[in-house]
Amino acid sequence: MGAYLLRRCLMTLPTLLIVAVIVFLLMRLVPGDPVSVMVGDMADPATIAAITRNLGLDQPLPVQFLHWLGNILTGDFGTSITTGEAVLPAMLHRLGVTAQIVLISMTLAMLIAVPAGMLAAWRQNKGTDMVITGLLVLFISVPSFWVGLLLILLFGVELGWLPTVGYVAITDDPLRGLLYLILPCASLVLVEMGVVARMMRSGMIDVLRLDYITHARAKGLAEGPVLWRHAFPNAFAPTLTFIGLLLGSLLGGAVVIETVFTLPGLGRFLVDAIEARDYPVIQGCLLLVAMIRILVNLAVDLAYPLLDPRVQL
Amino acid sequence: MTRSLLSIEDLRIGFAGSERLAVKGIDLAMAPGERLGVVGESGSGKTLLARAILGLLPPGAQRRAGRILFDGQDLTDLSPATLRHVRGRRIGMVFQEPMVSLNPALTIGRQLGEGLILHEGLSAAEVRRRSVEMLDAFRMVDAANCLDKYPHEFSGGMRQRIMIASALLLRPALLIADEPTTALDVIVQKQVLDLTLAACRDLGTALLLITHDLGVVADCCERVLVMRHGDPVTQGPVDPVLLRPSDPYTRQLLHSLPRRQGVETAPAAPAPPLLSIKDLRVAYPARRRGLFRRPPARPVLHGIDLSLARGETLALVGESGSGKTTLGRALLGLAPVAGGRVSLDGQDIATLSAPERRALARRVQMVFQDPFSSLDPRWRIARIVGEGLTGVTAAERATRVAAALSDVGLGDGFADRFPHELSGGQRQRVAIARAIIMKPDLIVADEPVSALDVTVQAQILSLLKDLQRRHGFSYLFISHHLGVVEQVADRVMVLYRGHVVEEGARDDLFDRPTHPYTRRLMAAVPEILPDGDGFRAGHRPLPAPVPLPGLTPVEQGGVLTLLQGGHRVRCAAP
Amino acid sequence: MTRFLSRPNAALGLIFFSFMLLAAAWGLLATPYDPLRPDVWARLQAPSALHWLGTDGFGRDVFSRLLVAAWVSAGVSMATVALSVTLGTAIGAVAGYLGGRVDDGVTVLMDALMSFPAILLALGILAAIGPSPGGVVLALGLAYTPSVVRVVRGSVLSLKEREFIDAARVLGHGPLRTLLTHVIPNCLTPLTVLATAMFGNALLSESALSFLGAGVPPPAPTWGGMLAEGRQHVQAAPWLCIFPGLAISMALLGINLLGDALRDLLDPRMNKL
Repeated sequence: MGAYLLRRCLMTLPTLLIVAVIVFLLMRLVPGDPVSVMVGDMADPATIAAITRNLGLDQPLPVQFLHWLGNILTGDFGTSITTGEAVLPAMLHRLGVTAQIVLISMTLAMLIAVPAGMLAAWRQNKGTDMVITGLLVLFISVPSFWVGLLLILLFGVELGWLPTVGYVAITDDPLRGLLYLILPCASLVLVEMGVVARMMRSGMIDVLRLDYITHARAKGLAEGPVLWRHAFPNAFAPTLTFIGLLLGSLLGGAVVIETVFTLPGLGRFLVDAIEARDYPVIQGCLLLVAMIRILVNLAVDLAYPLLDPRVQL
Repeated sequence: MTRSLLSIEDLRIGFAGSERLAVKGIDLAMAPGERLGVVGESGSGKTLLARAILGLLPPGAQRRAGRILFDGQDLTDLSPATLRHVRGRRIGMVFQEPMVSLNPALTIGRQLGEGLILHEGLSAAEVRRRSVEMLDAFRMVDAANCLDKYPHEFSGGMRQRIMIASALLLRPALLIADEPTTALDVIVQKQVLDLTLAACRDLGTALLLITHDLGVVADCCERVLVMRHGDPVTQGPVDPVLLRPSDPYTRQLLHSLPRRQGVETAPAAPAPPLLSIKDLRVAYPARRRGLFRRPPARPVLHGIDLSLARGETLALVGESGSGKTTLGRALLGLAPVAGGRVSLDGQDIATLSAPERRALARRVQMVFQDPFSSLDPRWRIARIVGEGLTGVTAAERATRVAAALSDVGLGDGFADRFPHELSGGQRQRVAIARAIIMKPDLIVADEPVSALDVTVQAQILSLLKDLQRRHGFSYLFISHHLGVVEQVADRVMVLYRGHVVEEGARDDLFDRPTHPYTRRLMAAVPEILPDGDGFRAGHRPLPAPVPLPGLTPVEQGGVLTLLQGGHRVRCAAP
Repeated sequence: MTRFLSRPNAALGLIFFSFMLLAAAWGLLATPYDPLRPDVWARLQAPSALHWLGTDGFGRDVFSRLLVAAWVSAGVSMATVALSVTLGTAIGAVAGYLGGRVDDGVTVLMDALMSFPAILLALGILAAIGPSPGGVVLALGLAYTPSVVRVVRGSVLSLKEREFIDAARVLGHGPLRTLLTHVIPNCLTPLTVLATAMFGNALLSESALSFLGAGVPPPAPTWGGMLAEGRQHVQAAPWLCIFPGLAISMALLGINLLGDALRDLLDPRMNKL
């Protein structure tokens, strides 16, 4: 078991390394001289040369990469070109906001979607299923940022019940902080819920076809225990591996939603950095998000045997 | 007849959106403790009948008419809640596939105890005691420990024993078993059937056994119902209904059963063999775990010697895991050869260049087991059959494809069809045509009839024999079915865990099986043999064992020792 | 085909989707107004007989812009799907069929690419090469390639177990021929289903990228870009927020319904990705 854990953890290393290479190369793809892009065309050649040397950009690419990787490993993600603050603390600060939105949305989406998917599968091709699948396909077809805009329009502009833009930290004022989170989370939940519920439904339909379900019914079990005790663990296992993917799409969704509601999260940070061509920030954000994804996938893999005893630790 | 336990009256089942019936008016009655077998080929509706009793028809299937009386109660009238009191407690049910009928996510103990807790409300300790007792009755080693394990930790035969034990745990009045041993090897099948019959007898449980295997029914049941295309064909006591059949379909079924035909062919002439294999070893590389170490390869064949004459049929027989399929695949380069020498027509394959080897390889063709997977679903039949022809004109290709198709008894009309439009037997004919169009010297036939119904199986076996007579190729015939082997083989090799344990001419081997494993294999098959005008059911009588020194049931080690006339058996080295 | 269209979701999906195609065709041929020309006298007008869906902050006709945007979105999404399907099929088929070290390498690379949320990877690529329609196609195409690789590789691995692949080897055919004649044609079913789903995803992502200002650059009209602009005027001109979103949703609904129907038809057992 210990050996498996160790092996599975070590297997993420090549992935992490390639992620780092991709992020590094991406910013080297910039057409033209990155330094003149950063400081603008107005700077005189001597300044450009100095900055180039300072950043190590006159060295061969592999050397640059190792240098950059070494800095990353010691927690030095560089400094923002626009604000001059260190990238890592700035990112972690904003990650807090994003994490709140993502975690709340994911929990809510799971809580609603799993039972809904199971119910639809259980009543497959009957009225209930038609209604649920109809709603779900509608949910996955509306872009979260449009839902966000509509919610602003309805609750902010028309009704004036909820704040539409801005952010108050929950730690500062729990009640008001929560109010600011309601609309962003609602926009994300709606879409992600559709994806999870569809996944759960199809997994459940596959499981309900199997002999052990018929066997459980042949034993005289009522439908409740058949569904929750026999079908749920087997149908949920594939959905669990989907959480990593879900988290990814939520992080992607958060980028857009933070822009809609002007929340000071990681996504907004990245979008602003792209507008300002703030390359250290762009690199840092991409790297951080990919690392989070890889770690979540690792955690899911390690938790998988709890649901499916066939997978040996 | 005494009061009946189960009586079905005019049961009709159809599928949604179709007028056609899949079960067309079945009547049957079972007395308490009685054992009734329902036999039929695929599409006979026997499984639907079994599932309809407990109201567990698959989605889409509907009961159109009929009553199902159990203990005087019409099960079709009951509310779902009342029906659940009958399910499990009064009627137990067992399915075919032991690999999917136990829930992989729950422990054995939980799945066994579930019914007891639900229907009898026993305490945890009492549930455990009863479960252990039942597993003991099914000879599960260390029953108490089994309860805490998960299904994947058991073999197929053990899982099926657990399944049946769990169904009998509530001492039901009726056990419905749908092909309970079809997925099992023959020795395990016998063990499972014996244990089930004994347990049913002890508990006074009646048995409704659904199967395609006439031998199993004759062996286990008192009465039989034969079904075909949803119709009841005949019904009554096994003798005479099955053993002295009067209706034509049942007679056809029985005459289709594979059995020895004709006399043994002359022993192979001393001409140089077509195929000769020396010390062939095969090992599958283990899956790599992680990035770092690769565990040692898993050996599947441990040094096989074999020679095959032109026009001869050599059968490889053995249970799953014996390596018989691997041997066939290794010949065709489909399995990793770890050592040994293979020569075709005296040429050592290893010494040839790649193009020469490929040319030689075309002289060895293969017919696969599963006709549903061996034909590309997107290709038309003509293209499939002609796939191996290279460097021929379109006209010649068409002529040869048509000739090959007519050789296997398929007319012109088939050339433009797709595989999914064909029946299993027709597909297998296409696969045979694809092999013979290459004018091979040797055809490796890997379980070519085991996916087919018994009447179709008989047709394909006689086609294979007929083609051999006309074209003169040799067969390496791989099968787990002793009856089939006895019908087609000139010589037989018995494999067990990658070793040859016994080989010899067909009659020698079947009349004087010597190795304990061969004897066990033969004794396990429930057979129906011709007897005067009718048939006789039972197990094959074995001759007295030969007192040979070193003839131990242990298969490891030992050498093949010659008995007489090419009959060899594995003994401990002298 | 008739059987396909008799399914309610297929018929409904086709209706919604043809709205988009119709709009795209209209946008390509002629529009009521020039979608790019500002008109300062007609800024932020509510929907009327003159301007069916109103005008935006520059006085441009929203309806005309929606039509042209349909064309832009459909084109970008289609090119994206074509790019990632071609690239992904080639990589996935070769990796799955050859196995061994090639497969290991491809798997690690695809795992790495998949650890970026698709839209973030696309944002990163666009940040490097700058916003343009071609850039969006390249960025999204690369971001979606790993999921095609995964599906194709999976089908190839399961096809390799099928006996007709062995049969081709027994007949003396080499790997490349087997790959082209047996393996890839049999991947077409899952690929069709995947491509439909990806078309929807591409459309959604393209809108999101344009909404963020990283996609197709203004003044070219895109649904996402129009929403971003509508956001500026959410108080004064709410219709600017409603119609582009409605257009995206209707197109997506059509594609998703069609995709579901296609999946049920081609392979009732295939799981949603």
